[in-house]
Amino acid sequence: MKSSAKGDVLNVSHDYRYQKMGYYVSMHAELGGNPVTPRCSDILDTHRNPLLMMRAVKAGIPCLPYTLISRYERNVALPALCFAVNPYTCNSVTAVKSESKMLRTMKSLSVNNRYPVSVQPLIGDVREAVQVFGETDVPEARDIARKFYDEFRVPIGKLIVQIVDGEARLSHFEPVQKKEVDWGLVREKVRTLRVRTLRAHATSAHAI
Amino acid sequence: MKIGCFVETYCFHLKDEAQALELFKATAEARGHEFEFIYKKDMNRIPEFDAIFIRANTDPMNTAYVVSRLADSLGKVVIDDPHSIRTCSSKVVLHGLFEQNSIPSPRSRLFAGDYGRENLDRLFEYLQFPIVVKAPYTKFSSHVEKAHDEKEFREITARYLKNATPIVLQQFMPTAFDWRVGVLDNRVLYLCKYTMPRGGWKIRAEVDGRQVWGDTIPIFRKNIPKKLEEIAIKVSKCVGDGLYGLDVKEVDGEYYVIEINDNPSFYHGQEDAKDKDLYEKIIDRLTSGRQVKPGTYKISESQAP
Repeated sequence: MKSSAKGDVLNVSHDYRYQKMGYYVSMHAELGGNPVTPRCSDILDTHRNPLLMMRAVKAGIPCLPYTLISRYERNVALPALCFAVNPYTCNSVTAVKSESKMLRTMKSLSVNNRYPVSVQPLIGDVREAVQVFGETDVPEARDIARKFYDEFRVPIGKLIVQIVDGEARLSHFEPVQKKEVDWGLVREKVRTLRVRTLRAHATSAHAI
Repeated sequence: MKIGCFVETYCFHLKDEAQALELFKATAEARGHEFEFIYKKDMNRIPEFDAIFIRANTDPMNTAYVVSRLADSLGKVVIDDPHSIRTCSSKVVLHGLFEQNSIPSPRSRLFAGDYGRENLDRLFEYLQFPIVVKAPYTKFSSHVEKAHDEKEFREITARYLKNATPIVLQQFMPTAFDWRVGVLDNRVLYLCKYTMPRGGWKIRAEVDGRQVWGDTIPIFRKNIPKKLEEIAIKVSKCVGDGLYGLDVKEVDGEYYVIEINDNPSFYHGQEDAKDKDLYEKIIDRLTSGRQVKPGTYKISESQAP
């Protein structure tokens, strides 16, 4: 954070939530006028479910429909998958199969009606896919992980997908815990990117 | 046209603020538009509206940011737009904006917790005690405190750094009032003086354990000092062509910008006391069909979804 270095910045973190260090590093780079991956606006979009869904749909990522509710409602179709739409969200994915659980879930995820909650139909197997630079170990989610990284450029994060009729659909994005990340793979990816960038610079310098 | 005004219940708690909101609605309707107050429960209905006017507190942390980004992405005219929210909500971003655009402002430094002797001495010499300590995200003078000596400085900064890094340190500039310059579409919309309450140094201060606000003195916008107008317009052009409220200090005929706020407050009988056409101008901007454009200071922005 003290660095005033100029140039492209790759910000690698397991947690980019607003006001966390992962976010501030990108903000600091942007303030210095440096192109940074990921950008703050992309971080904010990925961490708010309706914004994530809207962009993902436009990017051709298969998604599930969502609705936003701000307090407990009786007419929500169950079973449902609920996500907090607040900036601190971490591990908020909640499967709800009964009215009584819906009441409790709404109270908790909305932080007592302060924030809306995104509700999606629960129609498939829910899987968590940790994506690293667009790659994941979950075979069904590989295509989504690649498209997600192409669109949002967030190097590390957890994709919540539902497998419906053998096909994955994106439901949500969340930060990962440090221990969930294959840091060996991260280092390898960063090394590859570094080599590619150096080669690109060398080529453009040669062309000049 | 159909305007959705995004509010939260607290927007109606104060009588003057509620009256101003009703005046926005009455003005829009008198001009042949529909105007509806919308809440969190109505977020799925954003596509129904032609324009969204956000009156709930904005910050990337709040639901208002999600509303703004959704509406902006759908091509609606939205005040406040997401870029303005992201720029104005952070004192750290504003510090960079002022520095890079040579905006006259009190001496400021970012502080990330380097308590080394050499760094502290340099900071204290540059800023001089008392030093104003600001958290990056403050509203209505909250999370802004004054450190009179090193002990207080260490105590306040350590407390603020627990929640955010970096924070802003600023030279203390005592004045009896702050100019509030309302700007819309890079033109002055209204003008006020926000006075400091007796015994306080911020427009909202704690005096004898009570929260008190200073008085608002409205002034016709045509009477704005030329130099103040030039600075206000210059700053607004850096952010965008939306709606802003600038806080500016005047010392010996020189002007120093403290901050530019998106989502400036409107209390009936205060900001609107002289230039009563501000309601019409804001409604006309919302129904102009022109989306708010980011200004010259561009923090990196994603493509609209």
